[in-house]
Amino acid sequence: MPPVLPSWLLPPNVVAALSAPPAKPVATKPLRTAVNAKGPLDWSQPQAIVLAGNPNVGKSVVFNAITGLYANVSNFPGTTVDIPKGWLDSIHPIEDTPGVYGLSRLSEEETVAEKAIVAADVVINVVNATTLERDLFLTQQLIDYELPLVVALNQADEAKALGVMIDETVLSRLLGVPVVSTVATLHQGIDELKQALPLARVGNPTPGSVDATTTKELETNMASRMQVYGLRRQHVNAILSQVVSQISDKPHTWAQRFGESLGQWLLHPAFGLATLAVVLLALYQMVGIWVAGDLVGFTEETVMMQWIIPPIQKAIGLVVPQTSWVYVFLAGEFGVLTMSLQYIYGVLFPLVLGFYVYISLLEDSGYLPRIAVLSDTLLSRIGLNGRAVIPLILGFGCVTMATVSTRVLTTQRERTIASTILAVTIPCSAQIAVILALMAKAGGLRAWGVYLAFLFLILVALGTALNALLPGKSTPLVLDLPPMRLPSLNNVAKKTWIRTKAFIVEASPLFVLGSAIVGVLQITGLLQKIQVALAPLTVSWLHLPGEAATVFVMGMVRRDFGAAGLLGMANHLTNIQIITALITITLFVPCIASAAVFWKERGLKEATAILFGSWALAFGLGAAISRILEWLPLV
Amino acid sequence: MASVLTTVMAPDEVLLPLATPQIASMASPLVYPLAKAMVGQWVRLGCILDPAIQLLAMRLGLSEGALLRVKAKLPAGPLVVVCGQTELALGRELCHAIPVHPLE
Repeated sequence: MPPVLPSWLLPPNVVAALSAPPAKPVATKPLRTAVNAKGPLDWSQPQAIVLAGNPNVGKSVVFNAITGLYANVSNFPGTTVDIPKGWLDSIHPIEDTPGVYGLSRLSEEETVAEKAIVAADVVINVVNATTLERDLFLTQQLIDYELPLVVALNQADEAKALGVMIDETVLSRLLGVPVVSTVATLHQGIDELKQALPLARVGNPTPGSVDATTTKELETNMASRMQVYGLRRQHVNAILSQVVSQISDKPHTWAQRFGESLGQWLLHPAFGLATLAVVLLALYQMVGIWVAGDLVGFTEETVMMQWIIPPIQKAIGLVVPQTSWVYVFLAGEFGVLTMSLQYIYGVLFPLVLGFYVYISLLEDSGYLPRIAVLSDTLLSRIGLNGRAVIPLILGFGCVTMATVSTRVLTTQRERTIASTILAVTIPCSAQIAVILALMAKAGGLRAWGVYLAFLFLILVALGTALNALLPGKSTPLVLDLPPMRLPSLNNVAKKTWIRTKAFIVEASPLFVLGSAIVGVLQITGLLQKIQVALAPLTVSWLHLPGEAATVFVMGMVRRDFGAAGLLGMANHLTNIQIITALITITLFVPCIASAAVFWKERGLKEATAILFGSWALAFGLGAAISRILEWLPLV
Repeated sequence: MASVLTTVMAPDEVLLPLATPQIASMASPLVYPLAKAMVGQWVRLGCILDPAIQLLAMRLGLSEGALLRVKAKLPAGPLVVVCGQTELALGRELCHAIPVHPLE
């Protein structure tokens, strides 16, 4: 029972509404004839359709099945943050929305979803037949908001396999809206769903509610919202008791039972962590060694440097002399045309593709949310929750790509913490390849241990400090765990391709901009001046040779340029100097493209703070670590 | 109202008295935080006092009296609970604010 509020806290019309007789077992009655507040739906006129539903119920699959387009389909709740748009036919646009549990603007996803949903002419509410008691709460809220609705009862096959029987006819009568049973992955029921759209209607409101305006008003106030929610929950429970019957309790098929045991095993404190270690090592082998090393070696050095770049340089050389600044700007060492092409298609494209294949496989198998659960213990201590593990893993591939993916986090606070950690402590795969080579020179495993231990300490300290300093509180982990499934390779391929393409389209201009800035710095001689100015600092603070300054500045251009520069100097460096330099370059400003993404995602003020903060941290901690290692000879 | 709830939630279980807000204190032996439940244990959701968490729970389909099974418990980390066919991971701190009645 929700606590009863003193009536003076509530507006008079609400008091009247709440004192009305509360939820009785719901009576079945014919569908309401009044179709919606704007009058009957005229399907020959343009009507905007919006999909709404809880996370991971299959909205995106329904969207794809209806439009023939591709929206991100995943077995990880909360992956649709932007709104994909398509067309049912020439006059009926249709939009997908992020999965939400309710429309109360409790998170950014909810705000995005609510705006789209309340503006719709027709809402398709996708509910998962196996989790109806949760999903119908949103359905009833949509009805209480007087939105013309059609319910798609999705994954009806899975419910049946689990022994759950749902009486659709009674459900439709009780809700007062059409209910269509679908198995969207198999395209079943999609035509029926399309045919039902013109029949969309405003359903039966929660007994005791007045109208949509009053309900929305009540839901803006925390105390009265609880009362409305309580009544709605009771009403939904009453509906459930009349339409759902559990025939048997056990998963039926062998595959379901196996999936169930596997899901449990993967969350075991010991086995689960061991499996996670194996999965991450496999990721490292696949993306870090095969893709970042072997494949990128071929695409960058052979395809780009031998086949594609030389003809471009030659062509530009025909138009302008090779010594002119125009040539240097366009086709020189950091030329806007040559370096962007080489970096975007030679390095990033294969890398991001490889990363997304792996992540998509993890996601569609249902393992990714379990990684989020396993890492929640650590992440909740630094102001994040388990969901932040996705951007952090992606960061080891490309920090730029990872920063874009911080959009899956619920609050701005979490996004700030995650972006800062990415900018400061996570080395991207371009760097990791060179770091590996340097570590081999600095004594292998022991050097790795020292390097990783320092980075981990810095990550935890930074996260803890941000968590303490930033106002507010981070959200706790609340995550739906989908069943473990065999991923569909078709979906993995499609998803990988869409994501890679989206990233390349989004990041390319930033990389071009980065090259242009470096080009200007080089032509004006500023690049050299920065290096000269930085040199005393590297000598006196970091106890490194003066040339290391060049390495740091190059690290801004491309993080691996920096690390590669160090490799060239490695023979003259002591082990302590190698570790100091590697930590400094890891903490130091991320590449220019990721700086541009920070600026785009986090705003100018925050991005500037992150960038200058990482400079200060890199030199400050670099100096401290060099002294610690000189005093305590760990390497 | 109560009859509706019991029909839906507990057709086959011995009913424990549901806590009213006044007596849902952690001191009672029949009520303790979800965070203290054991793996494999069945519990019945008590009355959540924190309004924000109560709201969250209602939206997730966890109303007072709902039956939950604790499926996994990470050391100092989240709990995985099963409610009906839904499997939910809930952060440990959140589980400290959710009172439950043990059933076994």
